[in-house]
Amino acid sequence: MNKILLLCCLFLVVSCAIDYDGETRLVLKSKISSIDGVAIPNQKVKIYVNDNSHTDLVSEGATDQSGNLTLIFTAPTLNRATIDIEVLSESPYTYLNKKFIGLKKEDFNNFEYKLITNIYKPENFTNFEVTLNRISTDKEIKNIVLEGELPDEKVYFNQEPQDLPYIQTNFRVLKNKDYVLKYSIFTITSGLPIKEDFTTSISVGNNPATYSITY
Amino acid sequence: MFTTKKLAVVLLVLVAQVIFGQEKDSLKYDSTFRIQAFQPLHFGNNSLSKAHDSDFGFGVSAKIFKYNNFRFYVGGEIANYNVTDSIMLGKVERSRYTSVYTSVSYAVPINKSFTFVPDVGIGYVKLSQRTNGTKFGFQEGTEYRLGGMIDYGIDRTIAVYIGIHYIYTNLRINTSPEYEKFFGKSNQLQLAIGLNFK
Repeated sequence: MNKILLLCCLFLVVSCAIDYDGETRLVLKSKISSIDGVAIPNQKVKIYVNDNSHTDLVSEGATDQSGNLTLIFTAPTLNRATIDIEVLSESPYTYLNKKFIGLKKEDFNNFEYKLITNIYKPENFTNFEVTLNRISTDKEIKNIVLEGELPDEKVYFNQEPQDLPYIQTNFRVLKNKDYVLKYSIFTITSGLPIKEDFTTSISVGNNPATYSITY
Repeated sequence: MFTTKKLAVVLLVLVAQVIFGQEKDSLKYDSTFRIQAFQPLHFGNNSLSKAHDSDFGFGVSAKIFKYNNFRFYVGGEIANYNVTDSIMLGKVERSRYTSVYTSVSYAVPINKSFTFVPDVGIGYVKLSQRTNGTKFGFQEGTEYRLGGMIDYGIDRTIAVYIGIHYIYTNLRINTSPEYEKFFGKSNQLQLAIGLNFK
């Protein structure tokens, strides 16, 4: 009886593994640079395949002197499996890690994906804060978005657009960069809310920046 | 040194033997078999050549019937490989090349002890890949083999032989056009030593 149970457990473990299509090879061509466009050598890149219940490390390597790295790996069989890419700094950890999450097989054009990205040092950052000054109780602010080159540690792909459950007012931004701030103000009336969209340019210098919205 | 002319003469003699050397037409069931160990030597710009190291392989083949001096075989082979280039293969550590083939050979007696057995064949191939705990799927394909063996008869029931074959393999692959040939083709010279049980 114990042996049967053990065999059943083994079967379950084996059958839950991620399936791979040995006849499909995906190619990741990456180019890693600093904010100044300087190629970064010896930057480790790891590729994971994820199916929500399991994660496999399927390939890894390090960039050459030109900051380039090509990695080839076997594609997962299921379309819903995601491909996550991690860019890791090696000692002395000058740069911050960056992760690209949620790529799918169909994102690979002709079985190839070009990942051209910048990674950042901590001294490249500063802070940008939106201060909200609500003076009218029948108005609400939503969908605050900062567009431009953001030093995100995580970049998401294939995410369904959705209303954020909270309003983000603090952003980590790059020094000496221009951004576009977008937001919507809703006026609550007896009927449907009236929506007004706003767009404004933000120039960030070397110091933390703020922008005030009164509504 | 073999010149082209000499090679042509040898081939002509072989063909003449095939065409004119038959004493009588006869299709016979004939169950003898061969076992062999072989060393695959891959070459060219392809995955098995550039990104793998080959171990010894093993094979068996059985003669199912003969027609005059022609022998018809079915056989199977397995060879294991260690992956040497993780940039091209990812976290795959080992590959296994399995083939099931059929071949036609023609026995040309050289003298009382030695027989030259050229053969040509075609087979189904499965190249599976795995690492500890993870299977990375497999590729299927077709192989074409051309070569020959020299049998040395120890007695009436057993012979030792050495063989050499060129094997060209086409494997199914979906990838960037830049790497289609790398993962989709294979060329190997296979050196074998074995026993032929008659």
